[in-house]
Amino acid sequence: MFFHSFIYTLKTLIRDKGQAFWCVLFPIVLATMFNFAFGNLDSNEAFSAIDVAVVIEEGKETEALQSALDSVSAEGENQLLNISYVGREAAEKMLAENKVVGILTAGDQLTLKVSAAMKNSKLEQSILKVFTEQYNLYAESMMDVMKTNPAGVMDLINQMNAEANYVKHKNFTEGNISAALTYFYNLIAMACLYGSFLGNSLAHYGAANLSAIGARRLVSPVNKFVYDIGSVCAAIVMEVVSITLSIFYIRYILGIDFGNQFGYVLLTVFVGCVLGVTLGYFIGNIGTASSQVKFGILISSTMICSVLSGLMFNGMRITVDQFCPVINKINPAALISDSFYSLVIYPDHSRYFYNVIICAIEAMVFIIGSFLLTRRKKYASL
Amino acid sequence: MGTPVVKIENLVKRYKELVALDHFNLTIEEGEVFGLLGPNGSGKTTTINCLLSLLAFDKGTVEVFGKEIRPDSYDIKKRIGVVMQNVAVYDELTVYENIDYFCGLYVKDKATRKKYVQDAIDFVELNDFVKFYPKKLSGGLLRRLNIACGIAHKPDLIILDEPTVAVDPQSRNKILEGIQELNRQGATIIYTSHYMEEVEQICTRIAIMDKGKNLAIGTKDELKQMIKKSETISIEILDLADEDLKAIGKLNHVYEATYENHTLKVLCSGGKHNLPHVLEYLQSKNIPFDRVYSELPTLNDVFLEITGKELRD
Ligand SMILES: Nc1ncnc2c1ncn2[C@@H]1O[C@H](COP(=O)(O)OP(=O)(O)OP(=O)(O)O)[C@@H](O)[C@H]1O
Ligand SMILES: [Mg+2]
Repeated sequence: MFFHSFIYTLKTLIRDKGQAFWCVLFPIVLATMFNFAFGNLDSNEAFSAIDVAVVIEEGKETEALQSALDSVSAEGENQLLNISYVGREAAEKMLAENKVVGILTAGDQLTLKVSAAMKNSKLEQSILKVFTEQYNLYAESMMDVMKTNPAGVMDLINQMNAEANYVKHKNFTEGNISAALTYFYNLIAMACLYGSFLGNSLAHYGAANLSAIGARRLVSPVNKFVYDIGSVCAAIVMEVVSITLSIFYIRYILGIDFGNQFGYVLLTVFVGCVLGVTLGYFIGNIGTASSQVKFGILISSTMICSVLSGLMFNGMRITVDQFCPVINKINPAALISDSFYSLVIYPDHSRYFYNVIICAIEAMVFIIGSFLLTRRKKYASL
Repeated sequence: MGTPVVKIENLVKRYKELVALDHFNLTIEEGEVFGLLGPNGSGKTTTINCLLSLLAFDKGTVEVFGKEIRPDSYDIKKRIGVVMQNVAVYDELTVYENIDYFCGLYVKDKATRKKYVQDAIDFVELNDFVKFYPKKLSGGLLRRLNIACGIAHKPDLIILDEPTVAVDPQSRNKILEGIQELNRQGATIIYTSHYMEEVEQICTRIAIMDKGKNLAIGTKDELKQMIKKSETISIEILDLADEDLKAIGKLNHVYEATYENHTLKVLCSGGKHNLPHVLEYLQSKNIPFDRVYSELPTLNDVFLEITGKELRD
């Protein structure tokens, strides 16, 4: 039954012109528009050291931090930060006046504050973020090393700075990432979530109260779950193929680089599509509202997710991070675009896999939820 | 008699305040072409949906092939073919693919399925249209496709819910003949309709329902015998005296005689040779008459007498 459902679902989806529009054409059209809009956004942007205010809280041991900061702010080709050591108030003022990208506060931990209002500094903000995270990660071992082997501390600092420098290097020396690129990541994330329209339509054709076909299918001796898994898989294949097409278009026609880890890019697309399709399938199975209503819900909620993850304004993600960080941790659009992002930004894949795994968990929840909702269902009204 | 194919007892289904089925009872035996006749909104589709375990009901039991049917009664469902009131086919699949798709939900073996699909296509005579998409089919052809999708897997019990709505008379006759053919091949048929002519034409037994209740059940002759009227005689007469009208009203088996618009109408209950008796009287009085009709009672008359209203509004 799995294959019967898979083959025929694929056939119907491929031949459905409305679906083809949302799946293939829409991302391509939007990407082309983005390309016109942002085409020249980053081309003459060159990297200059990031202006940052450092506030050192009273009575804190800052020797290790000092060496770290010294090494990244040393003048020269590799200068990453341009530091002003100031008091709290002065720092806040500088941030408010956009004189600095962020404030680093040395307390028990190194903390970062950035301004959401600052546009076009998302990348700088990210670099600061990476620096802060890395410092906090290494701080403890640095203390230990300092006590036993002060000379070794420089190695650690170099190691630590490698990450932040890597971000900078990738972005500016190789021109690999740009503000515009994150828009394209978000665009692909949105396209993945548009897979939810397919999922919704699967639910539509599987419910007796929504479609006559659903009624006819439910009177047949078919295990609904096995059947639906087959059609969900077909929808995922359809989505993956169309999004991969969009990516090829963005990569080769628009000439926008997606990095060279194509395998991981594909994995992200796959997971994103699984998440999109299962999301739509789940929503489609909830309640008795018509599938048009659910389509409306999906189109607006995927839009909201995409906006929150930065489809419209680049700084959105960071704003969300400040006010309600949990949103970025579960927002499917944010997870998918962040996966692309972290592939380019981070040398290792831990953050990437974190995103991918959360996506997979959410998809599982949607599938199991749908299963429970439709299991042995009799309708109260048809 | 073996176990009944369908046994519905005391079925109650409410939609909020509206009682769609009110202690509905029905037993259908193997080999029948069973007609479920009732006006719009009488609960035919609701009955079918409960019977198929699609719809949750409030009270009662539904047994099919001797077992209670539930959403996961796959062994029962395997033996049922359903043609729903609404056409249920994929617009994106051709005629052939649609039939193959729905047949494939029942029949796994590819070779068997291929044969079954071809049989179904032959059966509804869609051979010239196998590559067509449903959008390109006329209403009648679409209905035939809808039927083919429901019966391709050669089920033992076939349920057709108003399969001829919006079908021209020619297509309709084809469909009706087809249904009788399926019955000859061994299938038990449940046929719902609000067209009494159809039901009369093909059904071996008929239940008349209204407002969720089963009002009467039997063969069409049995149903007609339940009511007083057995024959309506109409005779065109240019002029008829009142006393003659009265005399005709007093003839054997005649319970009502009226004269309006130059037409004498005589209603008879039971008895034979009613028409000759009336004509004999007219001749004996030298009353000239023109055209003569005699109508046997219809199911509409039955419905009218039981419910006090016409079957069709
Ligand atoms: N989903 C529903 N919600 C509320 N009332 C309903 C629903 N479905 C049917 N009804 C009501 O239940 C009654 C029986 O409806 P049903 O569809 O079974 O009639 P039917 O005999 O099939 O009529 P038709 O000849 O028009 O198909 C009607 O009064 C109808 O209005
Ligand atoms: Mg009906």
